[in-house]
Amino acid sequence: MTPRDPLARLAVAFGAFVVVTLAPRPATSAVVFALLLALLLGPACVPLRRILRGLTPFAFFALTSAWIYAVAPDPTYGAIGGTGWDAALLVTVRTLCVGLISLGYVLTTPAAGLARALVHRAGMPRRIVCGTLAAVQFLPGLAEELRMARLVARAALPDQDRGGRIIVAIRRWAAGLGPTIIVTLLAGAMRRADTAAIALELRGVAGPGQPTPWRVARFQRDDAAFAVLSGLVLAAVAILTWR
Amino acid sequence: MPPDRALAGRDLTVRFAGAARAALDRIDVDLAAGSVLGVLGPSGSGKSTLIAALLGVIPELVPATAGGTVAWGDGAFAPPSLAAGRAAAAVVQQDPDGALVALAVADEIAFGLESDGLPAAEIDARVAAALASGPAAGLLPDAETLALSGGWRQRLAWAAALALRRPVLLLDEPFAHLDPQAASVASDAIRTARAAGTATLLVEHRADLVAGLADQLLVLDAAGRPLLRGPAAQVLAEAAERRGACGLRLPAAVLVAAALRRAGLLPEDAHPADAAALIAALGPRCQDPAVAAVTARALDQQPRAMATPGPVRVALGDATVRRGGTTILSGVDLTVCDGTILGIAGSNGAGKTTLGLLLAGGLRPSAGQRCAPPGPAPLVVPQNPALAFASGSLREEARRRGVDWAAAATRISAAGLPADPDRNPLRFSQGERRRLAVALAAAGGASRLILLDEPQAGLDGPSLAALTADLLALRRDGHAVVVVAHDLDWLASLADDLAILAAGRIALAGPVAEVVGRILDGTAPVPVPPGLALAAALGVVPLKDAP
Amino acid sequence: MQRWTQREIVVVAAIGVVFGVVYLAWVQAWLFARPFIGPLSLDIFFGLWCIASVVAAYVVRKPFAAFFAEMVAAVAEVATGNPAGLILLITGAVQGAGAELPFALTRWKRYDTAVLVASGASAAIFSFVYTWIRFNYGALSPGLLVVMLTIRIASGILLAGLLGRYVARALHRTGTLDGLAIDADRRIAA
Repeated sequence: MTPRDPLARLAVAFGAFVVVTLAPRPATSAVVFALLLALLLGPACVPLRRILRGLTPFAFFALTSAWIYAVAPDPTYGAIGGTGWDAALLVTVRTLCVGLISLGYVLTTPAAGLARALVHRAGMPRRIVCGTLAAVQFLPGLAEELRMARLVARAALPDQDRGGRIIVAIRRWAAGLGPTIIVTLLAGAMRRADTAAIALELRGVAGPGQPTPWRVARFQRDDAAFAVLSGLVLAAVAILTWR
Repeated sequence: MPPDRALAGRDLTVRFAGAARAALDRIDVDLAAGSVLGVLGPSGSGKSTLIAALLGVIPELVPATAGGTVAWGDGAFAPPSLAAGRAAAAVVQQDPDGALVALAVADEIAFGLESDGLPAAEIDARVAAALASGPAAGLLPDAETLALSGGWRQRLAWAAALALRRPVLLLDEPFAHLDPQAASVASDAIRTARAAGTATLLVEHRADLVAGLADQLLVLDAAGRPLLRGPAAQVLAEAAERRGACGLRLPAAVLVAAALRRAGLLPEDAHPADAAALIAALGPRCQDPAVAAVTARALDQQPRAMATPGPVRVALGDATVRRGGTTILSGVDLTVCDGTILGIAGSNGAGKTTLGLLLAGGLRPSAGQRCAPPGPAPLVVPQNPALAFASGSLREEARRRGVDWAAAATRISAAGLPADPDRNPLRFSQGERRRLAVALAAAGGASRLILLDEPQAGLDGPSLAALTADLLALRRDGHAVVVVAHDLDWLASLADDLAILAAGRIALAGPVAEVVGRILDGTAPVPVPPGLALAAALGVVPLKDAP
Repeated sequence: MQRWTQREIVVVAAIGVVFGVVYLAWVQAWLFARPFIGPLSLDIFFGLWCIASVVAAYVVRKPFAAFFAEMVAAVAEVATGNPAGLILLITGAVQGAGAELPFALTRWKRYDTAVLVASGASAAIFSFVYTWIRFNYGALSPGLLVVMLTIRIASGILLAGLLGRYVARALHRTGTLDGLAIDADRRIAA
């Protein structure tokens, strides 16, 4: 079974997401997490290193949230229905599972394929889908500009070694993160946006004719089987672990 | 109408709202099938505007007043339109950062083909062909474009344009982000397309890159008017006669040939466009000391005043830099003294920028030492000079650097820039921002160490001369200057010391004459740059210091 | 109503993408601050998570710019690793719709400070209703709810409305927005 349709898989991911978010006990998330991890490492052939790297921010969030729930419960955030270490465990497992669902979708879905499905099947305008996709491509360049701006600002720090070790370290870390950096980065993004808009127009994003539906993933028997099977598994997991 | 016409433009004129003069002033363009037309001109001469005007990008996407007509193929003359331009021409844009749109290699190549409504099987075939040979050969179809280096992104933009198989190819400074190897792949792509009957219009500010490619040349002046046009070798020779007047950076061989013609050492009708042609034209006279003397003058390789090094500004001892598990620099020993210029050269990825930042203190060595006497913080002008500014106006920027506004304004004006205190530093062009940063440093900013990363990139002849003068003035005032650059010819004419990096290690470092000697011997890990090669072939001993 | 140009689409998407990453950093800052500030931390930090809407609407001045920018920011956040995952698409839609409403009420004709401030406040109110449902605010005391709503609206006004206007104007001064609708201000001023 090779489900190729990015839209069907998006629907399944949303389903899993709803189940995990509503489940009152950590067991639900834990089982979904384990099943999904097996699916990603096995049939989907995603390297474990990529999964671990992608889960790092989620793990960080899970730990900080868990600590807050365990030690300093926040009544305004999260209908956890409890406090203390039980709630902490639930929030940790749920966060990691939500992270793995998003990560699994992103890692197994080529963005260009999703974009084509959105244009040719969901009927979204090509100008908007491709314009957004082009903007996503600015990120690596902007990240490099941020890194360079911080190194330049670090070189320009006066009195490099005054103060204690920690003070120096904090000053070096914070150099270049002043409020003007966001304007500099946005200006770089706007310059790229000009180029990208002209590139899109010159390459015919808006016609004149209809674009060829090239390599558009269709909803096929495998996708239907995958969707039904996932639905059944999710339902079973939910029923077995809910209470 | 000539039967093989691919593109013709008449009276093309563009004026941007609020501009004092036209950006492009009554330009005619004629391009025949199977030929290459090079368009040269100084910064601001409207080279890129010409491409936008031909395609109808101006005024349809970029608002401006536009005039003139265009004919594609054997069609009739009509005002430029995006629909007509898109149908007839494929374009490679200047900036590979924004020019890719599809996130995966195969999708990027297919994008324009999908727009054309080609059958899916034909798209598959063209994508496969584009990845089998040409500029993007070797890329994997599913590779993510986000992970590609700038050079490979530009190659992919090339491949996507060529896959459209349009009769006309419009290239806007397509070499700007390519290292020499990738540039030669791109030059081959132009020659292949030319042989297949494609007409190519190539806009470039570096005449040396165009010289070997173009059949015809069109030179624009700084006001967007046509200055010279005709067969490439003739136009280059003519431009060399006018020297500074055209604002071009000309190939070394063309400059030397012009000087030799003036000195009566080369026949008036000899117009060599490259070093081999010049040497052939000179024949046995290559060994003539008179030729050597003229060559040395033409290439600015004359004896010059020795630096008077002051105290050590910064020294590295066995310094190593690691980042994310990879070693970027290792075992670097290097010293920079006040009142000297250090040039750092090497191929892409050799660690040049990292070494510069290490000297300036933006990076700390992972192992080894960096010693600098206490003093004011260094100034860094990065490759993207916008990142050196952190204020919303020139006045604030000067204050931030501890420079008196009056002194700053004098220097900014002297650099040929408007000294408007309320102007945002980002409202200058890339080249102007670099000169602005240097001007602020020269205006008595406290910095004693100044690092510039690829400051010569994208500068035309006059701007490069002005930058060179600025840097020599900083050196004379006792600053320590570090320049990271690809252009070895320029570095050799500027620096007191040279360091050549290869794979994160210093392969060669020392006084410039010594290093240049090793480069000419072929014992340095860098190709011999064309200017030095020509000088050596004509018997000039490069960079002999005056006593 | 004039149709969106390709440049406007990419500009708004780029604003969304850049702020998507800023939002992610702001999430980390919020997490760090939560144990120190306590229950009201979400309301205090809230405003910045709507700034993309205000900047985008102020720059291009077209219908649905605020909504589109917030949606793109949410997608960028999901793709770069926000812990909330896909539910952010719903969060983004709610906040974007809230930010869009005041502009829609002026038929997308007015972009002065009052409307920008209203946009930040409206996003705060929409978000409050949404978090009420999601986190079961009904269980909280009415007094605390009033304080929370007040702080959240203030945060929306300050960190989305006013800061967004400031950032957009600073960006305009760099010259990279020339030719977009934000230029109208300069022409009137000149």
